Amino acid sequence: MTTSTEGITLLGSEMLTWSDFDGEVGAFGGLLAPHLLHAFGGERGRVLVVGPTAAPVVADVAARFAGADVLVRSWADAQTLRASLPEAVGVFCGPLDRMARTGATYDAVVAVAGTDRLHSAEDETPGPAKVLADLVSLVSGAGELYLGVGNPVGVDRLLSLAAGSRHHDADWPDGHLVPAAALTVEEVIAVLAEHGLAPVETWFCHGRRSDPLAAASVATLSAGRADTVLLRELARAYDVTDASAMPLKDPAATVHDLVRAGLGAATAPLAVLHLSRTATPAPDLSALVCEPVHDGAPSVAYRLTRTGSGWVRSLLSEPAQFSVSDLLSRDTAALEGPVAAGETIAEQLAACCAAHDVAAAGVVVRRYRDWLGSDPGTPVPADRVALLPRLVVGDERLEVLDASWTALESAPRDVVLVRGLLDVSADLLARGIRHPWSPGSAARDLTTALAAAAGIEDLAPVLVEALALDARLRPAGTAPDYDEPAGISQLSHAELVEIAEGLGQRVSQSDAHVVWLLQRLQGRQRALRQLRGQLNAVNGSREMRAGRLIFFVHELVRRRRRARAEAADRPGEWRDPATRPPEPQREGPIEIESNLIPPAYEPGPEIKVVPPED
Amino acid sequence: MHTANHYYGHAHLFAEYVGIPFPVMLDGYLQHGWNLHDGFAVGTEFVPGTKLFVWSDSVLRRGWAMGRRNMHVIGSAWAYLLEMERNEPSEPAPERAGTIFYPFHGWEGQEVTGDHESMLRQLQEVETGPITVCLYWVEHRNPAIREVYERAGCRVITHGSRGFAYRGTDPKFLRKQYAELRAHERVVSNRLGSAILYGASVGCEVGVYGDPMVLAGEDPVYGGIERQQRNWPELHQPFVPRDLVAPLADAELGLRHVREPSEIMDLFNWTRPGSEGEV
Repeated sequence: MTTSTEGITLLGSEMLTWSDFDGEVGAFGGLLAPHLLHAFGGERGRVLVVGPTAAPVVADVAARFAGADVLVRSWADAQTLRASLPEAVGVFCGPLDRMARTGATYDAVVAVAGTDRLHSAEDETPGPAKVLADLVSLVSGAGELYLGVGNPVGVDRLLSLAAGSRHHDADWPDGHLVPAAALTVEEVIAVLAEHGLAPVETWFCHGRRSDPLAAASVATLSAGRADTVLLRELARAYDVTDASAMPLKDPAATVHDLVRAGLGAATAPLAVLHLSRTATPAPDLSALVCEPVHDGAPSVAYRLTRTGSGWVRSLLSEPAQFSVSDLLSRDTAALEGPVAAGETIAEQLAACCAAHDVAAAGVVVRRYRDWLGSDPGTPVPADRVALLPRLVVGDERLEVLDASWTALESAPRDVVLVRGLLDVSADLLARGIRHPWSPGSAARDLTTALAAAAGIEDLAPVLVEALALDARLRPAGTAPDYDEPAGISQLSHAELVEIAEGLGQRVSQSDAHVVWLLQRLQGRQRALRQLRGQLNAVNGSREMRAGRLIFFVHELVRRRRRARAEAADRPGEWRDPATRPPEPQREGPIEIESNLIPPAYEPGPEIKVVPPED
Repeated sequence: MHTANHYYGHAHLFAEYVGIPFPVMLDGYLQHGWNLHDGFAVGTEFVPGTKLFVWSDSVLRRGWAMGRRNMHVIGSAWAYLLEMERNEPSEPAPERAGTIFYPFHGWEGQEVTGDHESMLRQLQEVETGPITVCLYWVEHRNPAIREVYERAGCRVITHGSRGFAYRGTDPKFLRKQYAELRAHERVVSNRLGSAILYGASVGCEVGVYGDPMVLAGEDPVYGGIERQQRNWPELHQPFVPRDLVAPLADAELGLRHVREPSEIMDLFNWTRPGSEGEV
């Protein structure tokens, strides 16, 4: 054990060319972290944070104790922590088993980054029971342990949410928490019970393993299988995924289905256990939620508590007011209170699209339109302008799910409606929800179809205003490209197969169109051949030969007269250019007879369809 | 074939193991010495997709974490020498006597700076029997270094030249080292290194002590002597308990990874002279 010049204690077997902070999973952190680590109940002497944990989380934990140390296996990560943490916090670098050998004990050990990143490639990785024993050996007699248990069959791994390949550099042979060797949460609890530690709280966390956005107890997850509020919050935890990754399926939809199937806890990417030798279990039917950053606004964390009449939302931080753009502001105090239950307009539209039920989508859109106002030009009150994704469809009326968002100006009804449809369409495409329109459709195309269902015939001017409104409702430069074709990379394998089949059908139809056209051209060709035959017959006739002779003589006479006139130096005849016949306009509209238009082909504005001559 | 595959006659020894004449080209990069990196010199430029033949699981893990793939753990050339000697001993086991000392050495491109006088004094304080000092061939050519030990009555030897650019390799390097180690009771060095592990694997008592000396321009990725001392503090003492060093030697030399000759032929892409597959 040596101390570096930076003040880092080196235990040996450090990983000199490795960083967990920059790796596939990253350092454990995020807004939810302090709320998952909220219940230190014992002595507040010394605490040890073990594993790759973000400096703010370490600092937050350290501030609650008289002394603190942190242990990471990576030299680079140790340097990062050393540079960020107060000098009073000791930074150790090396594997867990070497830390355990020092004989130090702590009032609390926090290992929420998981147990699979505590040992280095320098040595063989001990089995899970040995890892747990080493952790427990660092906990003092009356101490407590916060433990993160990574799930080898978590949603993040099932859907390959991270950008890394299956054989990531962290998966060195015999060194990774492989499913065969990993312990389940129940098995971990059983092993720790042998060491005298009993669970106080267990949070099953959804979202990124290193930065979960939703956490709930197993009881909450079991009770919330058909609960729209809980399902929505858990699905939203996967809104923020690595853009460079290619998930196998939309994680939000997948976690929705998993929770409905009672697998919400079994497939949570991370479980955070709070264990103690003295405290008693805390029954809990609540969930912790941290909103993903949306519309450029700072993230907000809150607790959802189930009551007899439904869920109640309470902020985990002080209420705040802030502007997101020059037209959108938020007052998080409005989040406090009961939460409307039921599906949102956006969820219903997505379901209609996935079912290819355009008629049902029209009903939803018209319901939203009527809620905005009865007249297309009527100004919509400012507090309703930005609410489309945040409206819950109740039995009788639409209810506001999140009233914290307020636009600062009113806007015409149809403009607000179309802007909302743009927002929903872009989200729908980004999430890879299937829909009945062309696979290559952009959000603008979907909006056009949905706006028509809302009764808007002349969309172009409304769309211009809606795009302007949308740009003002978002932070500068963050408006999506509504003309970008759907994100194919976001689609699942099954959806891609479906698209391939759809495109195949379209190709077949195109082939049929070509055959149809060739049939029509064949008819024209016959007519042309017939005409050419007639011309040839006429050319060879006696009348034609006589006529050619007459014209030849006539031309000869005309040329002689002109030659004589030029010899007499007479001026030529002047002609007005305006009287010349017009040049054919090649850039103008294509005029085509209606019988030449292929079946099911919708001519664009560049094609003018005219009636057939016959 | 990378020039390092020839160092210390490693490629020769593998050819002997599988029973084909040298020279043969080896399809891949062969680890030629024990280190705390990926098994190869820092800055080695690998041809993408080429096989990397390493000694042990620890090198495999470390290399994997560095992004290296296509690594094959085959054990060290020393392990194959032991295998050949086990099957067909070249000579009867000699009587062991005294200590063989391997000062930490540099190479043709990096010199080692250290005080051989003080090292000698420590050796004389600790060791009781006759002392053999085995110098790297570069240092062996330096009369000043040789004289330090020769004046004190030490036997000064070298196992031969490592070789460079396919020339000058002593094909019997490892066999000479094997013979010397088996003739001594103890193997001592001022740093944990290949020689200590080799000695431990053939039953020598082990000591690691004295001025560890400094290698000019040593890449920090190795972590220096401090890293070795942190990783294995129990091995840095004049008399290392056998049960501490033997498992490490077996693991780091990859004794359990020795492959069949046919596997080596396949891995190295070798063919027997006269066979249909001969290129």
